[in-house]
Amino acid sequence: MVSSRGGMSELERLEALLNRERPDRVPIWPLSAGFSMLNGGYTINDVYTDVRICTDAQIWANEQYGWAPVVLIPGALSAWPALEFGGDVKFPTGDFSQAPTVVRHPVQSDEEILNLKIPDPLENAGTIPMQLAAVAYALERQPRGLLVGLLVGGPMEIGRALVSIEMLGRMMYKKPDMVHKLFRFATDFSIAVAKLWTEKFDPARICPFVGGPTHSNQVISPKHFKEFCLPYVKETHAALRELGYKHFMFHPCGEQNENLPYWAEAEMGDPGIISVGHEIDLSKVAEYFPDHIAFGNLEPAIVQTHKPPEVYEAVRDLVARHKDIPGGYIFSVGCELPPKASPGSVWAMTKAVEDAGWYT
Amino acid sequence: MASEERTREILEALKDSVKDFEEEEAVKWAKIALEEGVDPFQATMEGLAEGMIIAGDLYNQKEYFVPELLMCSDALYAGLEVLKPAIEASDRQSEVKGSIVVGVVEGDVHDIGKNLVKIMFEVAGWTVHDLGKDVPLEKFVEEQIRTDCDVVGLSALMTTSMLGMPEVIRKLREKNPKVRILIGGAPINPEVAEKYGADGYAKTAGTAVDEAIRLLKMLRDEEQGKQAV
Repeated sequence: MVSSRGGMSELERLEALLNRERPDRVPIWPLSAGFSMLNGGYTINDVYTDVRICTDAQIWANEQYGWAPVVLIPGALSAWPALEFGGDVKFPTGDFSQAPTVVRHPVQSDEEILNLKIPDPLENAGTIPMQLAAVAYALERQPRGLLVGLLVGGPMEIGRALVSIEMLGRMMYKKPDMVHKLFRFATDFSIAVAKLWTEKFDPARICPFVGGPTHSNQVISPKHFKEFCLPYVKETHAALRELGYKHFMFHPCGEQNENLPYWAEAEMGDPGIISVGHEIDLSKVAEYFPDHIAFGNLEPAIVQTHKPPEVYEAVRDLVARHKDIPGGYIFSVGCELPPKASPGSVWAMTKAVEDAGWYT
Repeated sequence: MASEERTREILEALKDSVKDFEEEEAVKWAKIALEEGVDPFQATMEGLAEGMIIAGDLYNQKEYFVPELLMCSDALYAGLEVLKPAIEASDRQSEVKGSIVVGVVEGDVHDIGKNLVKIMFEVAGWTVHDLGKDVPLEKFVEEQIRTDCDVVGLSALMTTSMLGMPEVIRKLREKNPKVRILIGGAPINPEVAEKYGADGYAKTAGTAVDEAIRLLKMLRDEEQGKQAV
């Protein structure tokens, strides 16, 4: 959508916020990787497996709808890094699947945890060659704008890809030292991957994706988050900053209200983008991350199941309530724009920000 | 035969062993229950299962989380292993309260929630037919017909996989208008459940059983009403 009022471009709006300046209007970044694939006539599978289509379809949708020029290279997303350690991953196929999933975890025993080693050479492991090619292509295709092109996740995300959540959950009580060993390894692996990226690309151009749903309080307690995850999160995020990554895309997916004070102890970038689902009120983001950009958080089901006028009103209301958050605000759908949202509802969502998101 | 007071003490210990996820205690008190002549069915339902129900409530209250429920279920099943042979050997019939088919819909392999739901139904005395994850939509219909279950429970964690739910619901209604359908999962809310034509919505594993009992009661009231006419 080309703004009827002129003013800044979506790129300029995004850059203004990243420079801690106020844009003329709330930028729109709806986390639309899956939607962009279907919008372009491709499949959701392509976002995870096709180096060029992944970027091209996102750029096309961003231009078509007038959204912020952001490309997301998701790698194996929720299944990262199972393939890199010999596990089996199912990439989405068919009418209903949306994300890669681990179908066989590579680690089944304590001994295998203790024997985990960072692949050598790292750049040849699992999905890493494809991710590197995708990032290189995206940087070439989009010389400006933001590239969310380094999947970091967090200790729980990597841990549950390597071992099952059932094994990990029981270990928290039965073998807590083994959880620490697993998360120690996950941290070393994350930092090694982040370092590899800096050897290939300018880290200032790449925004790491940190956080994830398995840390949520629908899965683990805030106490366990503090005990098992926080030290490794802090270490990883500090290392990312030292390596030269400037802005982080932090997505504490799901219900993580009680974890927020702990996450807030970690580096989040300068500034970071704090992307929350509808389970967390954006006022909490403003409270715990006052120096960062609030991002979110329309409930995905609204775009998928409501008619355009209802979507329009819901977005208008959300934007009106949050556009003045001191650290800045980017409109988005809570977790991801549903890939099969109707074009009419997506248009209504976009128009609502265009109508209600102005500062001047 | 244990006295009433001793029986209560044993049941409390079994309940606490599950709630506090003490596997060894669950085994120990299950053995004591058998040794002292406590009805093994009573020890299961009013001891072990009651502990799991409390754990489910604590999950709903955000005092317990997935690791805690896994640990409680380990204690539950450890105690059950001891009691099960005695239940099977006795004349005591299980008081099945209802039957449910559960599964994660096609395209979705996120089954933590579904597995918790399964445990909660089992401990509540329901017969559970678990189809697993990434279940082809037609399979729910086939299984409902095969088992003649009262309730079908559908779970989805993704906005794409949730789109299969209305299709399953439509097909189930076509084949068996009486069946009650319960849905849940991260992208689902009561409004979506209504739009999709489900009879009920469960926000958590703990609330799923209560909701299914409500649906079952409605179903049986309707049937009684028809018979009365």
